[in-house]
Amino acid sequence: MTAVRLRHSAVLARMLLVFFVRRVLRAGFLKSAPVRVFVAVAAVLLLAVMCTASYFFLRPLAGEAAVWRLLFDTATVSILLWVQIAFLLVKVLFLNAEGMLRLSYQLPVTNRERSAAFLLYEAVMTAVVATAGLISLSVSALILLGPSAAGYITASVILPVTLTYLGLSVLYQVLTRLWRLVRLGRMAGVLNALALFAILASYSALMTPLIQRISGGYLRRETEYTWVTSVSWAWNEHGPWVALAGAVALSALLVTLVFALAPNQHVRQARYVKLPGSVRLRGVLGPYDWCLLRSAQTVAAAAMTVALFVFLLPDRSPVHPLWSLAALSFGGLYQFTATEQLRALPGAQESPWRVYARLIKAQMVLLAVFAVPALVITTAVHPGRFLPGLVPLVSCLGGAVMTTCISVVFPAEKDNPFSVFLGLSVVLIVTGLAVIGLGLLSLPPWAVTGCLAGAAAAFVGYAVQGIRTSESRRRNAEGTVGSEVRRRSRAADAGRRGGHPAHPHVLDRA
Amino acid sequence: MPLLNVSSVSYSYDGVVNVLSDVSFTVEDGTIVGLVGPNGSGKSTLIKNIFDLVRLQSGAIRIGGHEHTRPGAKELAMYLSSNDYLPEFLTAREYLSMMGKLFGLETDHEKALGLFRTFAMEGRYDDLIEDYSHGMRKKTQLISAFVIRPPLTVIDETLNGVDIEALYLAEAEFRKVRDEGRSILLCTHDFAVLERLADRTLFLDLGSVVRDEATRDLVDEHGSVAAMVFDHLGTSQP
Repeated sequence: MTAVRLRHSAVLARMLLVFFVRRVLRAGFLKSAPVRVFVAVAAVLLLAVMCTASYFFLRPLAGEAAVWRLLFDTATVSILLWVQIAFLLVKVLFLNAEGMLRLSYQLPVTNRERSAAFLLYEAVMTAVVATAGLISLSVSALILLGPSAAGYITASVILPVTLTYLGLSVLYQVLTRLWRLVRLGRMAGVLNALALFAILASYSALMTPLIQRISGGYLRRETEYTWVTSVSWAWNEHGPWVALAGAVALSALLVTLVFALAPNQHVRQARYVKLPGSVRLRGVLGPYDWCLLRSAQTVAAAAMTVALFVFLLPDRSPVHPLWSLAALSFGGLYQFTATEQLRALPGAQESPWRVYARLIKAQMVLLAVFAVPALVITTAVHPGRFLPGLVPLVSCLGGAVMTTCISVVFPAEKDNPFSVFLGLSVVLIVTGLAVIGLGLLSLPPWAVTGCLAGAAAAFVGYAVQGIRTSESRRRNAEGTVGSEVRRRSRAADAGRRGGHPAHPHVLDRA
Repeated sequence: MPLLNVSSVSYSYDGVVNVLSDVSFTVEDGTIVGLVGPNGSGKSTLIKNIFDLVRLQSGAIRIGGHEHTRPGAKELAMYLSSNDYLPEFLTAREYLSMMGKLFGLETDHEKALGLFRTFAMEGRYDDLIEDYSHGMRKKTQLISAFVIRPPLTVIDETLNGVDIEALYLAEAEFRKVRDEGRSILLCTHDFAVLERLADRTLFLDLGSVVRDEATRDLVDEHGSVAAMVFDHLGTSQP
């Protein structure tokens, strides 16, 4: 087994951090400093609104310790779902980060050291999602209970999140090794995502009984033990120090296992998949369509769509199976950057609206490929679900429009997962604030729909403007104006030619 | 013990066609070995195998006695790739500092600045690599190798993008590197460079080593390395 030099992983992690700061936080939509300030203010505002609402909701319960225990135990149940969702999302994002991996091609690091550096970023991104999920409860608890809330937060949030994340990481590595053993290593990423999804689906089915058990224990004034709230239970039964020591020891063991089991992952050689029979469609589909349909990201998204569809189909669940098609828009998040070379071709200059239409068309084609059979199967199994299926279909079309906009506004250079993550986060923050604002105004449904449609149209317009700006910069149409072009007032360096540029100094030496 | 020992390496991307077929060779200390072959002959795949960028399917590769996947092997060899995978978001100074840390060295920035000056890139050391031309990026790759000076440098067509002046300077540096007892595996289509520099030339065709001999002997036999390659291709064509 190859040792991991943590210092080397740290150097690589630092390089990725510089990439994040210089190429993600200052690219596309975030290039402008006022926009960055706006996003930061919006995030803080949303956080403040969530914390304030949570504070006023929890204030009447401040004196009842049993209620806090109930709240935190139920929060543990839901935060574990959040962690699983975040873990799955981050793994799928990093699954497609081949371009970033290639940055380390020339560096003298082992594959396991590369993996260790990437694991660090995966952990941070998962922590961000988990924090977003429970920050309001934690902040309110700290304000209402003071320092004594630290125990609740540690036992019910921090430790369960850490242990779940590490447990999932170990499982991921074990599964990867298992797929390799059975010679399915090339598909390990997609198969792991499907396995994680199966676990997520199973856990979501367990959540209601778990919460009922916890609530039942509260009503009976007993401490109900569930495996999900083991840390909190140990914290109360055996004391904080024992629980803390046990959790830290278990975490250390899991971290060791993660690094020890991390397979020697190599950079994938194929970024596109030639679909069987696809050549016959060359008259109908264009390069923009092929770029999406043949990309590895689309393969991962398609696998998730099929898994979700199969999961939702048999049950009469309130969620329509066609909602599974929403996962297909995932590939659209990378499409603008992936098609950049097509726009750079000589004579390929087109209007931004036409480029946008080509990007959307590719997503529509992909959606149609899956939507038609999905609708037929759903209608065959549940005839009454044909018409209700139109809502998810229209929503998925809207999703395709949105992801295309995100791909333009937050360009995922080198397939980096940070841009996609940041883009999704910013859109969620802005949408969250908009929904809260509209809720406060108590507008009628048609007005809310109109406002949201208007916001979406504005986003599309902004994305088209983004395409125009991007193309203009690529062609250097802006000239020397603006921060895009670095000013260099000096002349080209003449080296040692002594002012005779036509006379190469290699000849001087001869 | 040779610095680089490649033994019976075979590789296939699709499990059907062997891109490399039972390739074996060594690179000794203080030598420059040329690696030539037509496009698709397996040169880059061989180099990717040496640096563990693809999983070794059969055979063995050892660098300085270490298995090629081990940290010990990584400390001894540097890869200058044909596609520059340079982190464009760093300046050359930051890139060289990072490389120094990874090789466990304190980067000599004065030396790097001197090389930037010599290679006609004065004043560009603190610019982002993104702003460099193709040739400048290639020169930055070469300079990083000249500053770090690892025991083994593997150059995959990096010289193809540089101008004649930089090529002249690079050749002089390569000779110095060899005189210091370090080694270079030089993959290039510029046969004249090989004739001037390489102690040995390895000719790869269809994934197999066709010739592995002293460059001087090959030139004596065929007149030039190019003639040797053309003779082989002429006789191997149906």
